[in-house]
Amino acid sequence: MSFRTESEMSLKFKNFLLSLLKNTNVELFHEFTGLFGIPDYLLVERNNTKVEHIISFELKLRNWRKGLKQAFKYRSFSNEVFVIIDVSNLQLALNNFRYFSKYNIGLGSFDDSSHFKIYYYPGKAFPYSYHLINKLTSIFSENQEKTFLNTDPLFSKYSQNNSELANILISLKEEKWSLNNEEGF
Amino acid sequence: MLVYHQTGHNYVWNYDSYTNDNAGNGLIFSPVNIPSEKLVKLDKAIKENSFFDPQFYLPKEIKGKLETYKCFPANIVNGFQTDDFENLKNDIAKLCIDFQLDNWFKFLLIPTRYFEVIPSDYLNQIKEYFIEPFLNYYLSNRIQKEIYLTVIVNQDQLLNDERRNILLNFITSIQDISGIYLIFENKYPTKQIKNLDYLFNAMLFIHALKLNNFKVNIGYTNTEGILYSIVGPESITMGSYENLRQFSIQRFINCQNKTVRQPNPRLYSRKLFQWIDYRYIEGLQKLYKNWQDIFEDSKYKPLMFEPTFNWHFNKPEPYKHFFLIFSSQINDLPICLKERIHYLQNIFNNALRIYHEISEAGVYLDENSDGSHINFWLTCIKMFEKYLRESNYELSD
Repeated sequence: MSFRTESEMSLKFKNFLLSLLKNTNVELFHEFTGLFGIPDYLLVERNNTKVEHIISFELKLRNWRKGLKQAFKYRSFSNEVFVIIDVSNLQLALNNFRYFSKYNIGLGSFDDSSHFKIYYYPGKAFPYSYHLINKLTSIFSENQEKTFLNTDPLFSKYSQNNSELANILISLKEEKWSLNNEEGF
Repeated sequence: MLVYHQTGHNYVWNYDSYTNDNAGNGLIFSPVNIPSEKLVKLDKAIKENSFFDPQFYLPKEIKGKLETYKCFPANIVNGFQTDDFENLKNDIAKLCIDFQLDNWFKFLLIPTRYFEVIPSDYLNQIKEYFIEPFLNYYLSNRIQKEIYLTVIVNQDQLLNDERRNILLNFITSIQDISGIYLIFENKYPTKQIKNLDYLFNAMLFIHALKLNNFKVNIGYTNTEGILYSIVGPESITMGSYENLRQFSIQRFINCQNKTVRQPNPRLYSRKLFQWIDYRYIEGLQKLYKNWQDIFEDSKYKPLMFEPTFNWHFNKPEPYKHFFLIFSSQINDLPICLKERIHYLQNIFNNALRIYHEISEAGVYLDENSDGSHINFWLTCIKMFEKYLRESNYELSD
């Protein structure tokens, strides 16, 4: 059954994330402002004082295109960004999967039984804005250290291997669905 | 075609840009922002290439530095009301014209007032309280300088054929003025105008004035001024902040308790005809291999592209960069209007090609940084060409 409103979807999604991230060192922020756009949810994984990994989520009942446009902004400060569509309206987003691949934005679905699936996990990428990374890490790093992932953000290579958060989400990837299955939907 | 600085908040940037960088052809001084005692002391040579907008738009509302101008209606009578114009119109006209003459401005401007809801007798009010007293004083003193009339075209008027024609008929019946300082009200929430009727009707309005031998200086233009150039106005403007590139009466209302939203800094791209949100710039640098080509060189560019540059709306560099780039863009327009049409079609299509490349490179610009306005411009040009053919008009060479 589909959600009636985005608020309803958001609340359920929040509870889902909280249970998923229990006993981890990941913090959850709702509608984080002051960066570029306002992600519905921002997950920040920290290791002591350093920010290790950032994931942003944009929730939409059906407007995948608007979600994609907003989500791209979050790539400026996030390791990964996902657009999460109400599963009842997912088909249109899947039909336009190529745009998610093109802009390297993840695609997932969520329903009112709290079933969450990822259909496209974005490729490895570093947040593209040095300014916003610094701003974010200044906010979260207690000692105001301007580094991210323990390395110089201008020259580092992103690695997923050490991120507990990324590993949790990868495990939720819908195994049956891949790029080759695109036309089957 | 000339381009004037539309001054407002931080007018010093415009002044510096004009005097030190040779950007633009002059300034339109804003009494809301510059005190009269400062304005009178400015270099005569600057003022001779500039003009003064009396900004009587809300004659009861003393906003900002308007309090320092004797000619402003609400400074003459406490609690000024419309009826006061009847007794004071000649004094106002004398004070306003004398002030402009004493400051050697390029030409004189007859002010106008703004109406949110246009009363049925508003043209009579404009005529009786502004046009007649100002022209009476102008003609009786045999003043040699050109005089222009300020005209605000409300958005509703622009989009309504009948009301637009009534206004045009009124303007074209006025004698003894050289031209119009023309302002199109813009209430759209988007950064660029994406309404075909608005843009096309604006072009037709300018064209009608030109056909009636009026000179036309268009104020408060954004990049759509480049589109309007096809119709041959004498000038358009370039402003720093959005409220100087988009006319709204809100700028002239005192809002003491209202929180003013700080704008996000943007960087103008000549090739893209767009102000790009600065937060996309690093994405473009990382994902689009030709990013260097879309941000033109200026003396301010190296500083803005330093990693440590602190983008903030109070930094002058993005705006001074814009003044330089935009004024050279206007200078490059072909003088012949027929050639200008083809020239603009080519560069607009080139802009669309670049936007497509940017998208293919994986950068998703939102509707306030993308090129979605350019298709409207191209369609407008086609509509205008068709209109010229069907009306047997030819653009001047």
